[in-house]
Amino acid sequence: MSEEELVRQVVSEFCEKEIEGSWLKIEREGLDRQLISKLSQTGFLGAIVPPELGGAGMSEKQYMVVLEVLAEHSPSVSFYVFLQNSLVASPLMSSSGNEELLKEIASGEIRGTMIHDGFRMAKKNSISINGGLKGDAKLVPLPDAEVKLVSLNGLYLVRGGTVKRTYRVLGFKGIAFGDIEFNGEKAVMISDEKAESVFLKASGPVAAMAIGMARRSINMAIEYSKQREAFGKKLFEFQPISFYLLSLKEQLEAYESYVYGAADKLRAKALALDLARRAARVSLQVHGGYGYLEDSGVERFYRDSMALSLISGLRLNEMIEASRGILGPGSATV
Amino acid sequence: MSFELPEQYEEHRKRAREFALKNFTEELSLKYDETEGYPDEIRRAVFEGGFVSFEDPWKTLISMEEFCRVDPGLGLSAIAAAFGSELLLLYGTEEQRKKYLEPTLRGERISALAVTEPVAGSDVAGIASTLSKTDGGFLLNGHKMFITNGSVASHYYVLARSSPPPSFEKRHHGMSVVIVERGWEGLKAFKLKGKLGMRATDTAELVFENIKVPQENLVGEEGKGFYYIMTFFNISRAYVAAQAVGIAQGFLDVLGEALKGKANVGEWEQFVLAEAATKVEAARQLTYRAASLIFQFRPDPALTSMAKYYSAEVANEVAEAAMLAVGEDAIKGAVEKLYRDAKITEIWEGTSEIEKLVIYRQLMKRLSGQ
Repeated sequence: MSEEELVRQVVSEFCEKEIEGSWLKIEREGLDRQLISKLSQTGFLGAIVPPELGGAGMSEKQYMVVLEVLAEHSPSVSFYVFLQNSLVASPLMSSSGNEELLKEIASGEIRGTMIHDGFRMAKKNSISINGGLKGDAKLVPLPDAEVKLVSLNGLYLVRGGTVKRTYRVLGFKGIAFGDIEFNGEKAVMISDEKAESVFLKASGPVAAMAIGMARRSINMAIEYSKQREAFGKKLFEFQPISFYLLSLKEQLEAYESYVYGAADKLRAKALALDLARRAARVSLQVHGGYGYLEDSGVERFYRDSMALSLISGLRLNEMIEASRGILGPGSATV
Repeated sequence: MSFELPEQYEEHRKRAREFALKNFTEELSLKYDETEGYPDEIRRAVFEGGFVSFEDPWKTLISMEEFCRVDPGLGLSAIAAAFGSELLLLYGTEEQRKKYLEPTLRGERISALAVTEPVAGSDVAGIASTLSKTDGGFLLNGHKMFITNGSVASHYYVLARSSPPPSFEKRHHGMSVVIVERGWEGLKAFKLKGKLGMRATDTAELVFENIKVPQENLVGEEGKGFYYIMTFFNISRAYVAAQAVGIAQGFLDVLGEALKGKANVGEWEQFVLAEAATKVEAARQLTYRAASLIFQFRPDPALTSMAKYYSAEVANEVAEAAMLAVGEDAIKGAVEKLYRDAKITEIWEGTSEIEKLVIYRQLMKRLSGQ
């Protein structure tokens, strides 16, 4: 058994025990301290953090497997782990002096989040540094996180900020989003990296989450199509339904190897997200009215796959970036 | 030959748009989406404003489109308050129309159509609810699912089996439609919560236990219920197509606004808008053509199904394109709500798969000269 397969087995067992029976509670009430503690004990919370700092020191592939399997069972939990690892721990690891902080994040003692305005089309956050951090930030996941990385002309480490309000958004209902006001909080620059670059590096992990969501959507649809009858036949006996599912399953297998094997994870991310959205739409269609209800566990993948597509980067910029990688620097300029 | 709507309907469109923008405020929209309550005050205002008319169905169709463009949940809740009542217009007695239809159209009652069951959605002929003969009428037993207006309706048009089917192939024989009132003994309604979208619409599960239905509440002829329901769907699908066109137009508005706010719009985004606008216009024309035949009492079921299937697909395609173009800001507020509302148009009142089967069968009938 390869190391990735071993990780897959461990995460699957964890999910069966800790998440499968309580995903709806997580959606409605959020991740509780107990679950966060278990995510830390298993090493998922500090998956990419070095072992000497209390993390699991996983390779990128192993970490991707963790996210993929978690996303199959609860995209909210997967996104939480992604946030702590890819958006907080990873930038902290690229600069020195953050060892204590990384230990606290891997242990779940403190939570981190990232604030950026890079993906906004029209509205921009109005944060600026002028004698400390000042301004408002919107649509921040985990707004009450103790540590915030704020992307301005570089990444700044900030503690505090006043949470003005919290709300749920389209996807990842288990995670609160919110608005924060900063009134001169101390901001320490940790690197000249910006959010776009952090997200670009996280393309593989995002793709893995998308693959997990796609797999669950497809599997649920297949399972339901073998149970539900219409016109005296099981749904999977109907050619169109069978062929939709076949096509998705084929794409899933092809994309899965591409996601884990591709050198350019950006394209893999775009393809995997596209598949996750389509798989969720077909799964909802196969489930009919039942899939439309929250407790079916089907509709969340429809919301979460789109939410992940929107949160993880601006598609147009990424298409331009990918085009230039393949066609050369002059492509997609007009 | 003109493809334009007469001036009076363009005026009606303007009124409907103004009404929706004024009454479907973001605050109200988010409130009903969150609480999943039924917006009765909106329904009353819609009926008082003359936005639902059986005498002039173009008005209802255009109201549906314009309301769904702004808020499908609120818009549909209001217009669907007379849901299923076309059955009385087509097959009801004078007494039934007076007692149930007229007050519904005055906004005094709410109706619901109870067809779908836990084991029978697309397969209408597979329903298991029964109507057994008693003195002076029937006893109704059964279980209905996903019934729009189920927990707020004053009366229901219920499809149930009144005699056993002659064979599996002829399961659609032996069904009847009866009117059941809300307060009658043996009726229980359980509101379904936690829907993906259209959360301002009321959806319920209904249980019928030995409900006594008087003979005068039988709609039309006994045993013809399946045909009545199919005829009704051939009308109502045009309204679902209009819902989808409205939602698609709503997303086109979102897309246009997002691009208007950008300093530089690249050619790719120009294409995204152009493609979306073309599809929305094509869906609208198809819907209007199907509706025009229905409203002239010569419906074309193939065309109606094409309109419903295509418009629903366009609504979902344009929704996805607009969401991706707007980006992260689309995860909260009116835009994400519209995205959740769009999906049901591919499912209810005949899934897209059922529509394709109808289209195929109708086309083959024509080819074989039937």
